[in-house]
Amino acid sequence: MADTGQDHAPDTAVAPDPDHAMDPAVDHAVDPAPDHAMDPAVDHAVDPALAHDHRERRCPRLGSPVSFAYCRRHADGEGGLCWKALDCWWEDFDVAAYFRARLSPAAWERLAAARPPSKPASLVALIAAARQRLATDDDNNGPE
Amino acid sequence: MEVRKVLLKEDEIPRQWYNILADIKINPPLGPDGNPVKPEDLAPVFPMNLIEQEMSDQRWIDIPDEVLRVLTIWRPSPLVRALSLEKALKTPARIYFKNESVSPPGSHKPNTAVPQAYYNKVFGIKKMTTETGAGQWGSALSFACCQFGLECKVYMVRVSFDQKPYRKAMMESWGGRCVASPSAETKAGRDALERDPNTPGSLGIAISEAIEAAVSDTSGQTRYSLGSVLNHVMLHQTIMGLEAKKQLDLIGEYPDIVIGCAGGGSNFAGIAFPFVCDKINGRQVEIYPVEPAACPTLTRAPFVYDHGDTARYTPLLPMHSLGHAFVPPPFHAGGLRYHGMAPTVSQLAMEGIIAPRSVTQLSAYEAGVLVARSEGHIPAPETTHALACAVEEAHKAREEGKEKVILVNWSGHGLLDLGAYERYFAHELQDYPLDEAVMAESVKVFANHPRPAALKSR
Repeated sequence: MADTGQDHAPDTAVAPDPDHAMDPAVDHAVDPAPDHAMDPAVDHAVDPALAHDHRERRCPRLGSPVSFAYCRRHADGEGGLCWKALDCWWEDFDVAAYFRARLSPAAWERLAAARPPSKPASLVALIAAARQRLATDDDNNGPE
Repeated sequence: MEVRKVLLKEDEIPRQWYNILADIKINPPLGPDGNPVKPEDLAPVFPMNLIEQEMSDQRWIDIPDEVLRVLTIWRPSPLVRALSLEKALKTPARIYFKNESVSPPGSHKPNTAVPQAYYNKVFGIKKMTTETGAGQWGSALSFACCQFGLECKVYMVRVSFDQKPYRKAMMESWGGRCVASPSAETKAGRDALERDPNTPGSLGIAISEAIEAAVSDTSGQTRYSLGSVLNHVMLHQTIMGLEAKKQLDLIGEYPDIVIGCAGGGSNFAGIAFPFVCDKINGRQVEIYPVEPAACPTLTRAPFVYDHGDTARYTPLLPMHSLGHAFVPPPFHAGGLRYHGMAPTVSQLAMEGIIAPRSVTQLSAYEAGVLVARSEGHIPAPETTHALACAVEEAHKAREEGKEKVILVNWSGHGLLDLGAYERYFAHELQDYPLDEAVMAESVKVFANHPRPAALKSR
C-alpha cells in the first residue's frame, strides 16, 4: 500500500499553508539554502547548506522517493519546507541541527511543532480558498 | 495437512458495515468559528448521502447490493495462517493475516473507493476528482469509478508522476484520467506553475486542484473523494474485520491480539473496529495500532484540544499532541508529532480500549523481509510495521509458553514500493531511541489550553 497523502498519515494529505504563505506578519526566514541548490554546477561538497540535498528516502506522504532538496524547497510548508522534514530525515543525519542553524528561531519553532490540520477543517478551508480563487478568476476574465 | 487459507464463500460476505460512532463518544471537529463543522460545510465536495454516513451514529449500516457486487471481484479476501512464519519464529502463537493485497489495485483502499463511487453515482454525480501521491489511492478510485461508469480525474503530484509511470498506466487502464500536478487545468495549478514552471508539485497543490475541480463544476455533477481519516472511510473499511471474525469463527478461533498499522487509521480501523465492538461489550482482546517509533504521537502524546497548525489558523481539535512549543532536541528530532490520525482511533486510544504501539523502521523492515522469506508475499512498507508488532508478540508468546492467537492486517503489497527495501538491504537505515524526559517536559505547554472532555463510551 505504497502511497499518497491520502493513504497514510503518513497518509496525511495536508492543505497548503495559506496563513504562512501569505501572511506578511509571519516570519518567513525559511531559506535554508540559496536558489542554486539544484544547480549541478555548484560544488555541493563545499557548501554545507547543500550537503544533504543528494540524499533520498521514501516519502510516507507521497509513497515514492524524494530528495532532501525536495523536502526543504518544494513541499507544503513555509518556503516549501515540508512540515514532516524533521520526522523523516532525523534517521539519516542531524537534520535538526541543519535547520536550527539556518532558520530564524521563530521559523525553527514552527517547524519543530508543525502538524497537519484535521481533515474536515482543512477541507472547509480548501473549499473556501477554491471559491475565492474562482471568484478572482471570474473578475479578471469578466465581460468587457 | 494443516489449513493455510480460510475462505468465505461469496454469499457469506458481510451485508452491513459496523459504525464505531454508535459505541463511542467523540469530541467534534471545530470549524473556524469555533463551532462543530456542519454537513453543509462539506456539501460542495461530498454528496449528502456520504456526509450522512460521516455523521451517522447508526451501529449497522447496510452495504448496498451494487457495492457487494463489485467487492466480490476480490472479496471475501483470504485469511491466511502464517504457518511458515510461525515455524521460523518457533512460536506457539497462531498468526493469521488478513490479506488485503489481493484487490485489483493491491491494497485495502478500494474497500472505500467502491462505496464512495457508488454513493456518488446514486446521488447523480458524473465525475469524481482526487489527488494522489505515488498513485495508490488514485488507482483505487479509478478502478471504483470504472465499475460504476463514472469519470475519474486524478491529480498526481508531479515528482511521483515522473517516477511511477506505471501508476498512470494503471489508472488509465481503468479509464481514469491522471494528470501531473500542478496542471494548467485549474487556477491553483496555473498559479503554482506561474510561480515556478519547473515545480515538482506537492500534495497540497494537488489537493487544491482536486477540490477546485469539484467546486468549479457549476452543473453540480462533480465531487471530490478522500481515502483516509474520515469516519465514512473507517466505516467502509470495517468489512475487513467483519470478514476476519467470520473466518476465525469458522475454525473455532478468536484473536487474543489484533494488530494493524496506523497511518491515517483506515486499515487499522477496518480490521480492529469490529473487535473493538466486542471489547466494549466485555470480550477480552488486545488491540494494537502500530505506528513508526519516530512518530509516537499516539503512544506518548496527551489527549488535548490543540490547533492543527502553529499559527492557530485551524480550529481547535481533540487530538493526541505534544503541542506547538515542543522543540525536539537534535539527537532525536524525528517524530513526536500529531500524525493525522482518524479522530475515532485517537478517541479509542484515549479511552484505553486500544493500546498504541510503535516500532522502529529497522525492525519493521526486518519483519517485512522475514515474512517475505517465509510466507512469500512482499508487504508494503506500512504493513511491515504491523508485522513487526506481530513478530514481537509471537516472541513474547514463545517466552511465556502461551498459544496466543494473533490477527494482523496485511494492508497491501510492496511490489510498487521496493525502493524502501533497497535502502534496508543497503544498510542505510538506523534507529534512534526516544528521550522520556524531553517527552515529559513537552506536555507542560498545554497548561492554558482547553481540555477535551474525557468522554467514556461505557
